[in-house]
Amino acid sequence: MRDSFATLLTVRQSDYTTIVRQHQNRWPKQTVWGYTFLPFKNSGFLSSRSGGQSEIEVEFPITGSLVSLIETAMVSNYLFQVELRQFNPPDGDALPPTSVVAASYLGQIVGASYSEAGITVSLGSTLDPVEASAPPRRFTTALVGRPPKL
Amino acid sequence: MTTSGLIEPQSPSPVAGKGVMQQELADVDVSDREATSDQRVISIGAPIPIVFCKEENGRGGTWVSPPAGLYGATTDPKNGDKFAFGMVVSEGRVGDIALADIYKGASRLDKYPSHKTVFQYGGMPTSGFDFTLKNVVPGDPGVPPTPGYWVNENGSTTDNFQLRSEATWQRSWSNITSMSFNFNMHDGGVTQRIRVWAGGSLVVETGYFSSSSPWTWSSSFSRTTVTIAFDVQRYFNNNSYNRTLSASYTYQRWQDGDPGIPPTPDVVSDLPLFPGQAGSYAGMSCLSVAAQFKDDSGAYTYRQQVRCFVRNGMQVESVTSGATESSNMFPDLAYFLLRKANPSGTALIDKASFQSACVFCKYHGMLFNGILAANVNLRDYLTRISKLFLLGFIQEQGLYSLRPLLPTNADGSFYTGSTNPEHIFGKDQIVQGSLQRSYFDAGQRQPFCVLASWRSQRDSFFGVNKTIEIRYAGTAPDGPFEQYDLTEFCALPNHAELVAKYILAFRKHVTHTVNFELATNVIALGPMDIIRVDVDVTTNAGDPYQDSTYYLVDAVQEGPDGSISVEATHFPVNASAQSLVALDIVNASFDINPNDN
Repeated sequence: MRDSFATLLTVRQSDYTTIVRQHQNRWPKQTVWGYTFLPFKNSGFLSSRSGGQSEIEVEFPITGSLVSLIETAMVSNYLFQVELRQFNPPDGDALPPTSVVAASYLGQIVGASYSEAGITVSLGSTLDPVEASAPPRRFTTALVGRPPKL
Repeated sequence: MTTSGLIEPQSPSPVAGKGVMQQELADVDVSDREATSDQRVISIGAPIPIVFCKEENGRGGTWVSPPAGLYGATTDPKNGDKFAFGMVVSEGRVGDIALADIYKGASRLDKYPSHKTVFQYGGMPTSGFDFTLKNVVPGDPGVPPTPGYWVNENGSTTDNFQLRSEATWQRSWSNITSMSFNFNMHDGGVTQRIRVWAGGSLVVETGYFSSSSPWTWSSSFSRTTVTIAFDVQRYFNNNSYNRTLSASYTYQRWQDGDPGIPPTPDVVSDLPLFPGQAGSYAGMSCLSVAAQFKDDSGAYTYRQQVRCFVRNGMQVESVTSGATESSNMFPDLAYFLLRKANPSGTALIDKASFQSACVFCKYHGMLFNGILAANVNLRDYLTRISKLFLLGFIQEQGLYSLRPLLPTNADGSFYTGSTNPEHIFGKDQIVQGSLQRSYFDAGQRQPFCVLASWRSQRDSFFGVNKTIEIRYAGTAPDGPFEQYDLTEFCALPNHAELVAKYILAFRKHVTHTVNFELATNVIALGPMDIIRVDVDVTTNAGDPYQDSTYYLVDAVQEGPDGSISVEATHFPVNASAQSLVALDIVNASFDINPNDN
């Protein structure tokens, strides 16, 4: 029975295909399934609601490279994929050879805060339809000049 | 709590007559009046409308009343009024608009003389269009001059002279070229003299003579004034002595022609209005239209709204083919709007679900032929409209998805086989005491009649809203009625009919919602998943309660304590685990009035 979990983080560029970083938070100082260790934690990513929006929070330790990464990610709309992997814990210190995805979340940074305790980023969708309106464009003077006055 | 499958009705509209709602009557009235309403103009800050449609097999497309960005008009009672409108039809590139699909007021544009139309993407056609506002006051055409001519005239006179004093008879004629004169002084004994002047020169002077014989004289001139004087001398100082002079004459007189009245030119003045100033029109489809016509009706036809029937609306990326083309698929519109909201966020859209949604919509003929013009919140819009395509707009694992409200086969048809739940939860998974059921009001489950409005249109007739009544066969003949408005995009009655059947079946069979909490060791679970909840309750009262109920997941939330809360809506099935809602939509008997399919 699979009853152990690990959380994986994949940071991708906005084209989704280019991977920037991959981290796991379960096995210190080890690389598992291609993911290096980073002591991050997330608020829970199963939040999902019909027709609505959902956000999750991920807390990172403060390092120079992470601060730089997050600042770049906010500007370049990097995608953060958080996965909850479920696996059978092998005996001893061996690493699990396989796992299944129990849950996942894909989002972009919609907010971030910094304190001495760490960096907390909120992941959501910057194409958030709560804020967006349709139709997307409006008549402006640059587009249609000055309209008639009759 | 959100209930994924429930479609809320619009506010009811009173019935005006059998099968016709008051709103429907009003729409017909508005359609007739709007044909002659004034031309709309662009309002800065207003949304740029999206015309989203595609004509297939002679059905589809939509009427558009585009606003004008440039406005030209000339009122000219002599030569006829003219108009020229430069209008924005839609955001993006729409298909070309044929002349036969353009109307001015209630008449097709090609019925007007000197009509002209140019369609352009990314700019406003201006060449050959007079976007100015003028009023023409016609000048006086004048009276042409007429030439002079010769007139042969004659005349006579008879005068009595009192001879107690000298007297003179004198007369002048102008423009004379010839004259014959014949004097006859009746009775004798009168001393008389005759003088003739031509052009002021004395040409004849007879001197005084006494004779009762006629005196005749004739002469020709070169257009001059002739004056003839006849003098008599005093004869007796007695008023009773009178004599009678008679004279007759003929002459040729030159009659000058009429110089006429010279014409005055038309006075053209600019109206104290502003015809508009062009912008870039980047990324928009524009249409310029002009015509000239005689308007004797006083109806100011030049002001009337230009309309066009757009057969192929804005071109978007098809989620199915990837091609850029006009579409009538709601998932294509949703995909366009979501990508516009954030062009870098394409990875956050579950494109595969949109493709499946297209297959579903196409199979059932649920097509989008309409205009998105009013500013709406994107989430609200997609959530509201997707349900009217029997789709759920959800966010699952961070991805936006469109999923049919009922299970479907690969070809998009409703799946009516045995339902296989994606998860089964029992007492081992559900936190004890967390499961709660909430039943819908009994009133909601009573038989009722759905009034589904759709837009009937033909390319020769403006769109008119129609309403079809749908009820389970033999039920609710006199209501209650619930109204559902699909007119903003639905041009096919079968679409409205299908949605109505779903609403009726949902309300008949779906009885409650449920929420419960799960232990944390749960595999992936998301909205629109079908689950089965097995309940096995044994109390001190004995008679244990056991139940297996199917549900459609509405939402999954992780609580602060790490537990997973699930909200779901009853998914009714029969003993063979077949969806009752799907079975009714496919097989049940409904009364449909009128049946326009």
